[in-house]
Amino acid sequence: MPDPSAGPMGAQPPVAPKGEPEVVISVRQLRKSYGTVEVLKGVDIDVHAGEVVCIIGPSGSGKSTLLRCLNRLERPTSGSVHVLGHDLSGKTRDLAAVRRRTGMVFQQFNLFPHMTAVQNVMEGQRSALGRGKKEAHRLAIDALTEVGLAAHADARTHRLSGGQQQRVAIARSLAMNPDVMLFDEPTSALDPELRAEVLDTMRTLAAENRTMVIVTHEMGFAKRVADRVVFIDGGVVVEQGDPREVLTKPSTERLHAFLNLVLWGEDT
Amino acid sequence: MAASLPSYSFDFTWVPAALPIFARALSLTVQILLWSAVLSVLIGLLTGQMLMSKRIWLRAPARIYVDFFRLTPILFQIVAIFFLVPLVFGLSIPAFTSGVIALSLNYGAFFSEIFRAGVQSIDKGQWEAAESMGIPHLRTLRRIIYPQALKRMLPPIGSMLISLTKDTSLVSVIGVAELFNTAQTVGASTFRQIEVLLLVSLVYLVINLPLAVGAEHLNRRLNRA
Repeated sequence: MPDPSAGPMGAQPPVAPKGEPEVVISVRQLRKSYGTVEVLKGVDIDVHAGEVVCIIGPSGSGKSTLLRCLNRLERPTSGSVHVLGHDLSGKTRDLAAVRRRTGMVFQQFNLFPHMTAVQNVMEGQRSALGRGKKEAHRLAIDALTEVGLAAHADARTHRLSGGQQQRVAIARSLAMNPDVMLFDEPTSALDPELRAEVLDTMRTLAAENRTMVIVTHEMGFAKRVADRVVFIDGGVVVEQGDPREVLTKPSTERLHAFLNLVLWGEDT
Repeated sequence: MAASLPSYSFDFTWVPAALPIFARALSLTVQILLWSAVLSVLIGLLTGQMLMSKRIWLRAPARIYVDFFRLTPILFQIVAIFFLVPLVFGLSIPAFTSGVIALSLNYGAFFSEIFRAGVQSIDKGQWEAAESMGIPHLRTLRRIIYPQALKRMLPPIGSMLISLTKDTSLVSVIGVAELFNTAQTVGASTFRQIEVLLLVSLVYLVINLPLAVGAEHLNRRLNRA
């Protein structure tokens, strides 16, 4: 039987040279279509261990779709997606294993409304990792402490503010001790004054050397926290690199126009 | 013990003598109700899940079953199963069992749609959150989806159970000596049909009233903010 991971591109996860951090995510020629609409048109991306990557781009550019291909919430149409050494592009039996090791934080939080904050943080540990109740509770309190919400452990989630709810969602992901954390526009559903607390929490995580892939419109955050910024437009990676370079001196006209639009509200 | 209308005088003097036979009938009605309620909910859970399956070989049979039993008369189903089961399987089964099977299949079809609608009404973000952590499908249903869906499904489930209580009377047509069947027998022998039916309707009311009140109470408690 032919190796299903060896597509027409022959894509394999690149092996990191000695001394460089390990490659934890490797995407090659990723395409995704919905019917006749092609949202991703051949994306290549690598993410290394400990790296914080911010994905920016206009709405409809395909950045959320790209992120959702990284834990197979969306199934790639073609191309390869390797995460933590597993191929997620074709038929895969490793999906649950990868998902247990990758956390995701959603724009709409997606907390479980019939549970308290601490129960939310325990659920994945209990149901996916098989941890016992006591251990899950202890680790849940640890995670809630890290996001500054230990005092609200027993609160029903709808009693919390949007910013607090998103921090519970971050704790829920954190408690699984993931090797990679994916953030899908984590502050976009929040009022401006609530965004800072979520961004602060994320900055703390970044400082702990966690591997994070963040789809965001927060340019200030990207500039300060990201190791690398990836600009996606029209389903392809248009430009990427050090945020201080890319966000201040974009080398492409499209990124220049996009930055003008989001930073100054000007259409050039 | 005789009240009278201009043209009819009520007579309940037959009641004490008929009590033992009605007690047996009530017991049968309650047994039919409980068996059918449990079986139909189980059938509904299973076929409701099949209706939502991506696999056509699971979805199609469930769809055919649900539509057939929802869209044909329940009375027909009760009679048809009573006569068909011995023909098809070559064994005769008691009328009681046959009636329970018919009621369960019919109500299972309705529960199937209620459960499907309830599960599908839950935001898909709930599924995604569970999937993204690697929580298995059935566990997601049990711990995350159904607890939330139950709140929304409770009113229709409650009215289905109330309706099931009343529909147990339909198995009287295949000769199960439950309440309604017994009412007809006693009515015929005492010539007091009106009084008998009045009494029996009160019994259905007594079964259903706590059911209705209980469902409403539970509904309020679950949906309290």
